[in-house]
Amino acid sequence: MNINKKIIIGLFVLTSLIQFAAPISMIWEKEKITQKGTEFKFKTRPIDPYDPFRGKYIILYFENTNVTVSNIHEWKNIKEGYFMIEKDSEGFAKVVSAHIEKPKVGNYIKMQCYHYYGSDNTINFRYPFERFYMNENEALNAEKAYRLSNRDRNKENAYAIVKVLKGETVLEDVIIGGKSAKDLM
Amino acid sequence: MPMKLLNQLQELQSEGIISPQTALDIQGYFNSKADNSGNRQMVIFSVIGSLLLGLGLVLLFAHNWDEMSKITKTIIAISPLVIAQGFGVYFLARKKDSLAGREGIGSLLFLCIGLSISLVGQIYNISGDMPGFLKSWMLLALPALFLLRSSMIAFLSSVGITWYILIQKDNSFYPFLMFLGYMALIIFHFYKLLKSDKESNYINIATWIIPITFLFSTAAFEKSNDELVFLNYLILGNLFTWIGNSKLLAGRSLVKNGLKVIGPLSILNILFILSFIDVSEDLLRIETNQFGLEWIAFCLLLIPLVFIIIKRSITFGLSKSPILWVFIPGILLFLFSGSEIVISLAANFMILSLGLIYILNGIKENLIGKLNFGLLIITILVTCRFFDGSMSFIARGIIFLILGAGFLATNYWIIKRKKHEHQ
Repeated sequence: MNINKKIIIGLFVLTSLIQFAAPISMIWEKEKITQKGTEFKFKTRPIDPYDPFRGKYIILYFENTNVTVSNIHEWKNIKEGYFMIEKDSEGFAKVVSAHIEKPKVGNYIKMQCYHYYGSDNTINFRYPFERFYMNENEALNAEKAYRLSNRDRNKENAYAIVKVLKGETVLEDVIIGGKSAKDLM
Repeated sequence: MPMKLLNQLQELQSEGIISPQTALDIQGYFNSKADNSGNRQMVIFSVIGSLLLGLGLVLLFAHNWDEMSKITKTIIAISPLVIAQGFGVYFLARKKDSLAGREGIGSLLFLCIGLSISLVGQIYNISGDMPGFLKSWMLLALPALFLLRSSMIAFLSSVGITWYILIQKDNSFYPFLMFLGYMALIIFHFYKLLKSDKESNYINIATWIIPITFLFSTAAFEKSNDELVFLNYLILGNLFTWIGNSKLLAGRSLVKNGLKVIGPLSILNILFILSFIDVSEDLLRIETNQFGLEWIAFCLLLIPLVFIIIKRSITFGLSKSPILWVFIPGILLFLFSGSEIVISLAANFMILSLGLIYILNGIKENLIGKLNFGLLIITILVTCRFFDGSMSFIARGIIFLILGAGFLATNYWIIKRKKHEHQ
């Protein structure tokens, strides 16, 4: 084997390691959140669409996607902020404040945010866990189950279980009418 | 080698028409040709096979197997990537000359990189950040393009990077720099291939795919000064035509030289669009004092074009393709005339003259294709103007009368000239 060939193979192996490291590092980050993160429940409404690469998922629509801030002029060109979350009296998560700088304590989520020009001091944000991937046969069932259970008296019957750690999140499960979306079959 | 030809060779040899050496040479020539076509078949089958295999894996995993645990799913998601990488190492160590191996493994590896990232996204419910996903995929595949020297990776990633630049929402210049650098490397790959194997089928395909990706991506270089994009397409069309007619790609048929087709069509397309006065008005809104993405694209396209024109001279270009004449007056009038009437009149005049040039060249060279192309240009121009609501009926009527009379006069003149030649 000549030197040139050895170098090319060496570089290929190095590249392969980087290619391999990309999904592994994603797994590492997410596993850390799953193990050490704090669990929160977010009220949601599931709908069933489709992604060509990752398959079927249910898209989650969340209530209350805005928060009031006192320093609105500082948010003009900010695209990502840190949003503090707390549990309300029913045990569901809600965003209580927004910060441009990373908070030192407490539970917070890093989210994309938008400031719509106007007189009020509100910032709109977008939860980073809007998709829950499911078996292709079950995604539509989840939406149907939600619609069915929504006809009941209890309107607040779907929520997402999310682990939160230092601004990052992992969507663990979606509960519809007391059952995991994956067990609705 | 065909049996019939073999029999004839023996006959010719026994009759003493060709020498035994010539018979052997002819036999050798056909045998090597048969080898080549067999090789090509192998390449095509290995590429299609690998692509189908990769896409099959994507679909299978997209089903989302709930029965499996997270760890099993993760291992299964990443194993195709490791297997494809293993094939890559084996190929580089043992079978470096096999084109079928190079392209087949390249395609499979490319798809497996995307597969592994997207499946981790599925397992951990990561929200759909499509631009981010495409960016990571393309950047991870780039080194493999050069190490495996696989043209399939070049094709697939040029589509991927174009998709990325079209959907990304970042306001900085970084994605555009990345896109330009990436495309430059892909072009470099094909340039090297062209130098080493002029007849490679991948060059033929590249002359179509690369300009098409540029046509799409030019639209991404648009933020607020969108009127300038018309001129960027005009320059791009000229660049394609010049490169298509360059020494590098000389002697290729139109099927094997997409640049020669896409270039003139892009120029004509822009001229047709600008021939409408409603659109030519837009050009007056180009902001010269706002140096944004559109102006960067404008300069990046214009500088190499001007360089080529100065180096090769416009007369040389015109001898290759008559459509190249519209560029200099076009860009000057469209950018500086300040009048929508001048712009649309110029565009109409340019289209008309190009139609006539193609017709006359067709007649002169006795090429029916060129003649029909010229007629098609004029027909489209006539259709556009007939339905153009921004011109008065009187103006349109007069133009049509002049055009009709002109055609009849030309026809009469050609017939007369032919008669004269016969005598």
